[in-house]
Amino acid sequence: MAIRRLNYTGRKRIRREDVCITIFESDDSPPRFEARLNLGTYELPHEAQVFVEAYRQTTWMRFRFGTVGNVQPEDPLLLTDFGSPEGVLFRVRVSSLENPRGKLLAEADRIHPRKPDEQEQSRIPLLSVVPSADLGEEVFRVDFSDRPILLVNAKIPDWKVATRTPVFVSLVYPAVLREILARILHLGHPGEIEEDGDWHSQWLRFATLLPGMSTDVPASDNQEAADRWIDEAVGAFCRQHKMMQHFAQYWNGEG
Amino acid sequence: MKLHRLTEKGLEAFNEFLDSLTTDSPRSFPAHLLTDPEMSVPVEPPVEIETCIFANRFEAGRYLYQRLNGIPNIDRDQGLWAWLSAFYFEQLCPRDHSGNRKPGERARWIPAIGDYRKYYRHLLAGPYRIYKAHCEKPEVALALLCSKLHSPGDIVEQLASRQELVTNEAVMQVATWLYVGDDGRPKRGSGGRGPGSPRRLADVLNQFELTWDLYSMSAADLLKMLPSEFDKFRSDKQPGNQASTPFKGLSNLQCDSEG
Repeated sequence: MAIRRLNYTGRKRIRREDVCITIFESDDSPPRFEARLNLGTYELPHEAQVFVEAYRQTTWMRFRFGTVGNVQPEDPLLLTDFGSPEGVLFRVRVSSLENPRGKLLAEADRIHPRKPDEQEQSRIPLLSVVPSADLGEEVFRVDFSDRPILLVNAKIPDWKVATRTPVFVSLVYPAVLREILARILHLGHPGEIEEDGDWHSQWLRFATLLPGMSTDVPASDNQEAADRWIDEAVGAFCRQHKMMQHFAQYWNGEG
Repeated sequence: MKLHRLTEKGLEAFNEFLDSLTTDSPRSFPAHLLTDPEMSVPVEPPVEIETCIFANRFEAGRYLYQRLNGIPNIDRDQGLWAWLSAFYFEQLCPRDHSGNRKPGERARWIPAIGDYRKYYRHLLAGPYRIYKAHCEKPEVALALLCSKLHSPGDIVEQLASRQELVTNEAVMQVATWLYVGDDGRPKRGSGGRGPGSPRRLADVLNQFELTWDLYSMSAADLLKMLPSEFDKFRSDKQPGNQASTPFKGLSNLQCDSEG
């Protein structure tokens, strides 16, 4: 279950339009990023420290960005701990330098970076697909260490292309949807969808918007109803995306 | 011996060997992994690696840091760390009283480079990376480096699985103050799961993170904020200069350059 953040300390929420992060890919060096931060309207102390953190699942890097009065990177902005830029999110943190030192004064979280050719910040994809060198002989795995991501074995040549083939799409994505919904509904979710909620609510909302789906999500304590609802959701997803046709295309050698 | 990295074929063979150890017919260590050109390739520029006996993770971390720091992209080099695990295999996987070896999960031998919950479980990359993160003052991280190389213990499991914690000097210093005794060994009870345990410390720090930027805090301030359940691990010396207390396991590193 997600942690609900209660703001007892007057921490300010930095608006998304005041944070612009662009990520650059390169074949021969780690991905790097640039950040433009507009902190001028938040009435924060000039000497407060600014940090940008990049994260994906359990991978995390932190970069010093000077102070509110002089925002500028102090470290090379290389994402050396991330093998690929897929699914990397950012947060901006401003913390007090004076007593109490370290108090969080302002924060923006879950910032989705844009690519150099994008004018607008794109929406956070519900499911990021990320290559992984840790899967051994597994082709794919859903990782739940933060919001779900689909790990694909990095040993697959042209793994990005592979994830778009009819056979992969028709076999893997329905299984992924089933696993994620089961994870949500079997682990104590009340079945309510919160507006602007965490990934649980986002996935449940996605499922309720599939054709023919009921918006009444069963609560976890009714496992039979939850299983039935998941079956219906996966069925609706497959209908919507004509998964059987995709598979037949592969089977008939057309894909 | 010159440092190598295992090839795809070498990794496969190493995996098969590790798999065999938990069967009724365990194989003997495939020493050819270390030099057979099909199984491993030398790292360039050459680095000499010796067959050292490490008293603990601190010694291993320091030795590897001195030897390997500067190799580009080393943290993500699965083949290199797997080769090192094979090179030090006898020490990393000693036989138990029945003569059997228990290699444990694969991430102890081949680092899970995309999953930091598991990355630090690697028996050599883990201590190396912790030492490297605190290389200017490595004693602060003794809590995660004072155990035997082949049995990192629960402190490592609880605190090293999050990069935000393991790279944070204040957090590491607090853990060392709480859980490492004057003799440089884990305090009695520090491996438990109850009040004041490393597991609870990780939980409490998670809560603090909602309102504090732990990276900007001093170890002394952080220690003061901990609830009373941690009192049983506090000592009179804290927050003092315990990090400079001579750690008894640091001086007797024995190495053999012949390999």
